Amino acid sequence: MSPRHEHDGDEYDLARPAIATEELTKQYGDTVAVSDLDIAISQGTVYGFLGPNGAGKTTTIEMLTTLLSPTAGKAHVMGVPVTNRERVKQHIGYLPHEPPVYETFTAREQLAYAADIRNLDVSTSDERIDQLLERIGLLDAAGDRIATYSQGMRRKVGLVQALLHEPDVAFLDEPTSGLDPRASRTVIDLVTEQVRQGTTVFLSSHILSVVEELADTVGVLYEGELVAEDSPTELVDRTESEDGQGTLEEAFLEITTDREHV
Amino acid sequence: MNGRGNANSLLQDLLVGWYIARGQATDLWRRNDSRRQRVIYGLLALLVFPTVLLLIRGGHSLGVRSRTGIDIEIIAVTRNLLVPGLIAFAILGGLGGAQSLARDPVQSVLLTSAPTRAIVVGKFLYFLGVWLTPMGFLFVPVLAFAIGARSPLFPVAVFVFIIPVLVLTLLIGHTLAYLLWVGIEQLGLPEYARRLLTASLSLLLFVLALTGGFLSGQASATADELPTADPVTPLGWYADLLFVGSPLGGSLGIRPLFAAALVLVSIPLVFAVQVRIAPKFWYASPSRSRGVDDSSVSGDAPDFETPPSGTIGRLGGLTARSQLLRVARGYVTGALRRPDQYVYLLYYSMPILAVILPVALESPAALPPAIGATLVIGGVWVAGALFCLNPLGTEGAMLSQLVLSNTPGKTFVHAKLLIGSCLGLGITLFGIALYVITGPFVTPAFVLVVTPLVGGVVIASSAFALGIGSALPKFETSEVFDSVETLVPSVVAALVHGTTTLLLTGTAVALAALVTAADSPVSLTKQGLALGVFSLVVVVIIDGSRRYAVARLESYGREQTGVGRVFTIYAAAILSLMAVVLGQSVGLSVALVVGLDRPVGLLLPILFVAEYVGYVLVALGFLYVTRRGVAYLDIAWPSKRDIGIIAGGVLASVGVWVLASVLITGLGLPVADHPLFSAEDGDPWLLLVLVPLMLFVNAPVEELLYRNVIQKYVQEWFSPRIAVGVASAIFALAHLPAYFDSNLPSVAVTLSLLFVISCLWGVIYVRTASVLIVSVVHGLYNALLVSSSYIMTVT
Repeated sequence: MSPRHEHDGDEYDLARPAIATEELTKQYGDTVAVSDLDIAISQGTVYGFLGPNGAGKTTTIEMLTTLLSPTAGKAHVMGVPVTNRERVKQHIGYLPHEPPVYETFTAREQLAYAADIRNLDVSTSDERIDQLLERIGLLDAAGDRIATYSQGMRRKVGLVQALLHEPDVAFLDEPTSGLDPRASRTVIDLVTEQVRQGTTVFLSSHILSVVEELADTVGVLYEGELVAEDSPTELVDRTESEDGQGTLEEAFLEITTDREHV
Repeated sequence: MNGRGNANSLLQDLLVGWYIARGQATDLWRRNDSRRQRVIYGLLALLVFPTVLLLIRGGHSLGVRSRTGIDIEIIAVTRNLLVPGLIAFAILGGLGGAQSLARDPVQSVLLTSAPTRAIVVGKFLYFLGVWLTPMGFLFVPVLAFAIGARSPLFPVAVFVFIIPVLVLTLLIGHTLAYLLWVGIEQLGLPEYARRLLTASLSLLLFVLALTGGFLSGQASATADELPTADPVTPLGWYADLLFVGSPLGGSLGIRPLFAAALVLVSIPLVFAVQVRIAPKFWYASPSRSRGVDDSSVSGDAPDFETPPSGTIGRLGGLTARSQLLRVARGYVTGALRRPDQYVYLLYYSMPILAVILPVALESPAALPPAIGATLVIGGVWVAGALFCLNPLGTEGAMLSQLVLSNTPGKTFVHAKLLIGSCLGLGITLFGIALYVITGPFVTPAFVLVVTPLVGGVVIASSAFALGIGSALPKFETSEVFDSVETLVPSVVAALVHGTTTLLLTGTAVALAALVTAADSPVSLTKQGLALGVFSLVVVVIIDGSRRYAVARLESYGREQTGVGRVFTIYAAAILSLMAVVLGQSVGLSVALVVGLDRPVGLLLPILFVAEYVGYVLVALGFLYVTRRGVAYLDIAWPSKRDIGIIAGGVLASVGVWVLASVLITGLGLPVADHPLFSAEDGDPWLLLVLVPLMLFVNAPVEELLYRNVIQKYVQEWFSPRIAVGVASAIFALAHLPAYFDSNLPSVAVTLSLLFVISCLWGVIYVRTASVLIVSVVHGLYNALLVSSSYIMTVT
C-alpha cells in the first residue's frame, strides 16, 4: 500500500480542503434543489450532512461524486474540479442510499467485481476483501448470493465496496440505516478506523446519534440551503434549551422548525 | 493500492471494460436461471432443433452443389445487399444498446469508479456478446456449407472478416442512438412524452426500412433478377472477403482490401466519438442516475381503495358493489395514467405493418379489408399482451401487499382477464366488421361461425397470457425501444403467447371456412367433432391458464407445494401433451441426423427409441422443476410374491384383450390398427425387432410417465380411484395421433380398450407401489401382442 497523497506526482497540498464548494447550485426546471452551497471540509475529517427528506442531500452528493452536473457554482474534491470526472473518480468511494450490487452475486464476487472495475491488484485486493468482510461480520455469509441478504447486510456490502480501494474521500449516504445497534457499532468503528488512516468522510444521515458521534463538523441542509454549520457540541450549545441538557436532535429540530416559521 | 498507475492506458481500459461486461453478463445469465426457466428454455430448444438440422442440411447440400458451380451469382448479390443489411443491423443494434447502463443495478458504483472509456468498452462488449451469441447459431449452416463445399478456409474467412464489420456496425448504431437521445433530452420534454417520442421514432425507422426494402425488392423484381451490378458504396466490396476460400471464389483483390481498410480505420474513430458522447447521456438526466426510486416500478400500482366517484352513475354503483369491477377499474385507471408503460405493444405492430405496408404500396384499394384482417389478430394479441403477459411482475412493489390483502388472488387475475378480453374483443369484432363490410364477399354463415370462434380465442389469448406470464414472470425493469423504462413481459413468454394465439386464430378461421363451405370435403360428423374439439381446447386453455395464474399469485413468496386441485388434472394432461409433441420433435431431429433414406429395419427402431427420449425428458423435467427429484420414483425390485402379481397382471391384460376381441368381432365393431402392426408390409422380421424395444423401452418409459409421474401426481390431490381413471384417460388420448388416419368409431373402440387395460395397470401400480412391476406387466403384454401378430403374419 502506497502512502496516500502521493500519486503519480499528483501531489496536493495537505492543507487544501478535501471537499470545497463555492455557490454550488442545482436546479431542475424551476425547482431549486441545492442553492449557493459553500462548504469546505478538511482532509481526514468527518462531515455530517443533516437535513430532512428532500432537503437536497442526495443531490449534493451526486454533484460531488460527478453523477450530476451542477447548474452553477464550483466544487472541488481533493483539489480536482468535479467537472474533471475522470480524475475525481480516482479519489472517491460512494455508498448511495440503495447499495449498488448485483443481487445474483455473492458478497465476495461483488467485491471482487468492484476491485476489478477499479483495476486493483488482485492478490492485495483479495486480502483486503477478506479483512474487511471479517471486520464487518460478513465472512460467514460471503459465499451466499446477495439476494438472500437482509437490508443491513446489503448496506454492509455497499460500505465495504465504497471503502475497498482506500479512497481519499468516501461519500456515505445513510450507512447505518437498516442496521441493528450492534451492526451500527461495527460500521461506526470501521468508518472511524478509515478516518484515522486518512480518509475524509462525507456522511449523510438521519440518525443523529451517529452523526453526533462521528462528525467533526455538522452541516444542516434545509430546502437546498445550508442553514447551520458547526461542530456537534457547538451546535448543541448554540441552541441549548433552558435546562442546559441539549442534544443534537433538539438542535436539529430547532433549526429546521425556525426556518419553517420564517 | 489505488490502481491508477497508468490509469489512462487503453489496454487497461479494455481490461476493465471486459470486467464490466463479464459482470453484467453473469448477472443476466443468473437471473434467467431458475429451474423452471432452464427446463422451459431446454424444451423450446428441443422443439426448434429440427429447424436447425434442416438449416444444416440446406447449407450442406448448397455446399455440395457449389462444387459443381451454382448459377446464382451469390457474391455479386451479397455486395449489393451487405450495406443495406448492415444499416438495418445498426438501427436494431443501436435501439437495444445505448441505455443498457440504465438497467444495470450497479450503475452508480460503475459511474463513480471506472474510467468512462472503460465503461463504454464494457457496455459495448456486453451488448456485442448478447447480440452475437444468438447470431452464432447462424454460423452452424455456414460450417455445414463449408463441409459440403470441402473448403476449410471458408468458415475461417467468414469468422475473421464478419466480426470487424459487425463491431463497426453496432458501434455506429450505438453512437447514433446516444446522439439521438442526448438530442431528445435537450428538448426538455416531460418524461412520458420523451418516452413516447423515442418509441415512435424507432417505429418510424422500422417503417422506413420496411418500405425501402419492399420498394427496392419490387424494383429488382420488375427487372426480374437479383442485383448483380457493381455496388453503389465501396464498402459493398467487403462482401468478397467473406467468400475467401469458398468455391464461390471470393478474392483479396484491391477493392475488397480497400473496404477492409475503411472498416478498420473507422472502428477507432467511431469509438472515440462514442467515448465523447456517451457520458453526456449517462450523466445528463437526474432520473437516470438515481434509478432506485423510479416511479415505473411502483407508480402504476392500481388504486383499489378509492371509492368510485358518483359521477359515473349506474356504472359507479355497480363498481361499488363488485370487488372484481373495482379492481378492474383500478387497472384501467393505472393504464390510462401511464400509457407510456405499454409502448412495448408497438413491437406487435411490426408484424402487422409488415403485412399492411406492402398492400398499401401495391394496391391501396385492398387496404381496408387488410386492416380489418390484421385487426382481428391484433385484437387477439392485445387481449393478452396489454394487461396479462406479466401478471406478477407488473404489480411491482404492490405484489406482496396484494398477496397479503384480504382480496382473493383470483379477483386480481379475473380482473385482468376481464379487461384484457373486453379490449381484445372490441378490436377483433371491429376488425371482423371492417373486413366484412369492405372486403371480398363472405357468407353470413361464415361470419356467424367465425365470430364466436375468434371471440373464444380472444378470451383464451388473455387467459393464456396470464398463464405463461405467471410461469415466466419478469420482475426487473428494462427498456423497450430504449429510453422507455418499464416492466415488459419476458420475451420468451411473449413469443410463446404470440405464436400460440396466432395458430389458434388461424385454426378458428380455417375451421369456420371448412364448416361453412358449400361443398365441404369432410363429413358432417367430423365437422361437428372438429368444432367440439376446438371449443374444448379453447375452454381448457382458458380455465387451465386462469387456475394456474391464480395459484401462482396466491403462492407467491411461499414455498410452492402445488398449484391447486383442479389444475393438477390440467398439468397432467399438459405433461402428456408435451411428451407427445417433444417425442415427435426428437424423432424428427434424429431422423434428420440419421437420414430418412436408411433401410426401414434400421430407421424404425431408432425412431421408436428417439420418440421415447422425449417422454423421459418430460418426466425428468417435471421431477426437476417441481423439486420432487428422483426420490419420487417408485423403483422397488419385485419380490417373490410380486412374480405372482406380474403373472396375474399379464394374464388379466391378455384376458381383457381377448374379451374385447370377442366382443368386437361379435358386435361387428370396427377396430383401428396401430401403424406398427400394419406399416412393415412384407417384412415381418421387423415385428421381432420390436419385441425387445417393447420390453425395455416402450413399457418402462410409458409407465414412468403415466403411472409414476402423472397418476402419482394426480393422486396427491385425489383418491387413487380417480387418479387411475384420469391417468388412463390421458394415456388413451395420448395414443390418438397413432390412429390419425382411421375412422371415428374404430378409434373410439380402440381407445376404450386402451383405457380399460391402462386402468388395470394403474391398479397394479397402486397396489405394488412399484413402477418396475407394472413395467414388466406392460412390456410382457405388448411383447405377447407383437409376437402373436408376427406369428399370424408369418403363417
